[in-house]
Amino acid sequence: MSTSTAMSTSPALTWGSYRRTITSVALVLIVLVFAFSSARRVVWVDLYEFFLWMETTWFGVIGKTWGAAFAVVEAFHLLAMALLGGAVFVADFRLLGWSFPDVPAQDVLDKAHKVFVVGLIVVLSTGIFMACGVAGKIYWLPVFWYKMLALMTGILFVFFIKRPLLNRDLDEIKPWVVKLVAVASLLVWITVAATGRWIGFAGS
Amino acid sequence: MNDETKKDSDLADLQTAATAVGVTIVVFFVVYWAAQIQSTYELLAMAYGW
Amino acid sequence: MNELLYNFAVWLDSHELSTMLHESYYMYNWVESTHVLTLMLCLGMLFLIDLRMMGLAFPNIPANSFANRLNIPMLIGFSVMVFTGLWLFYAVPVRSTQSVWFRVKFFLLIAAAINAFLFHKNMINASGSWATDIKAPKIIRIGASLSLLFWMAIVICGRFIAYDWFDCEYTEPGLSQFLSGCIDGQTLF
Repeated sequence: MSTSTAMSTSPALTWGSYRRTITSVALVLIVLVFAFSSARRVVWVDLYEFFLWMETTWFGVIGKTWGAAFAVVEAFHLLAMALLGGAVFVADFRLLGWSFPDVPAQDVLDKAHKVFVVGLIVVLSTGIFMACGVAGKIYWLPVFWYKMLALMTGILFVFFIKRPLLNRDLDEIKPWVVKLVAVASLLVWITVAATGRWIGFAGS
Repeated sequence: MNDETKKDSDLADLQTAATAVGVTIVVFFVVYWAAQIQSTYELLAMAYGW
Repeated sequence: MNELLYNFAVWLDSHELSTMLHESYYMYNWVESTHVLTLMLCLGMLFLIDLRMMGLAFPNIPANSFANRLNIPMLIGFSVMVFTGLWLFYAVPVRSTQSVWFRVKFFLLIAAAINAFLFHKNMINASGSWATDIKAPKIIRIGASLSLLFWMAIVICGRFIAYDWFDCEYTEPGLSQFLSGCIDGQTLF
């Protein structure tokens, strides 16, 4: 009797207990299918109007006509990138066991996350400004779209996987999962920064 | 399901999700970087005839 | 002095390797990207140390051990930045030598180095149990603020080197040419 009860509830139990896994795997699959199919092209063509509009906004007009303003914003974009990078390195190095082994990981992670969020906000706002100024150019650059892909992946990964996971008692999590999360996070954020730099070269 | 079991299954869910996404990210970006380095190397090799 | 610097730059410019690096789109960009991306390691660590001293980040980790630990990755990053920075200078010697921003950056780097030295000395000399306080003693906080300001200015100048607003080639004789150290009748830029 007890067996049949367990069997009858199992589908609901599976969905309920693996909701996050199923959602994330579905999302990853959707992104991959989108990225490697013709759907990407359709959306890309549709987005052209939006990028043209970006150049006509205040940000776009200032960015295009006032080179010095663009350069200053660019410098602050880099400074915020350094701050964000510092927070990512400290947190992920702690997860890998390379830094502050004597300080509770949770302490390092929480404090690093605060710095990360500040860095992210500045990077995003300066980034949007810059994107408006050169919207007509970046639209045509594959590296810009790779950067957006990496950036979206990074943000979703941090807020929907990394933070919720690391909020738990770290001792309960398998050590290699912790290390995998750290490596993935380092890889994503370094890629975001590197592809960002390449936008400048690719457009010139 | 009591609270303890729910907490455990939540953690299992989080860990599985983190593994799946983590592996995808690592594989995708390692391939991306390998391709970038490879193409730069080939272009440099072409330019300088290595 | 300007003439001497110019002649030195022209000599560097005559090297085949300098020209190769300058003209190689990919090689130059990889070196440049490495230089910029190492900011994340070098300045990332430095900013965190400075913010810790000012009581704005990681208040729960003792300040001196925080600084000592992060010093190592910071110095690794710094060495990479110096190395790639020298290559970048070598690739474009004349224009860099005569860039106002490059010159300001150079002096700011010296100022930052002196500040770092004093900061380190003050940290060692600071007595008592300050390390566990949220804010470091005033003298260390001043050092940290100066370090933040210097490095922010260094990054801004570094970024501005790429712009040709004050290049000898495109300006008329005047203040900017004086500051850039332009040479009368120079043909190489």
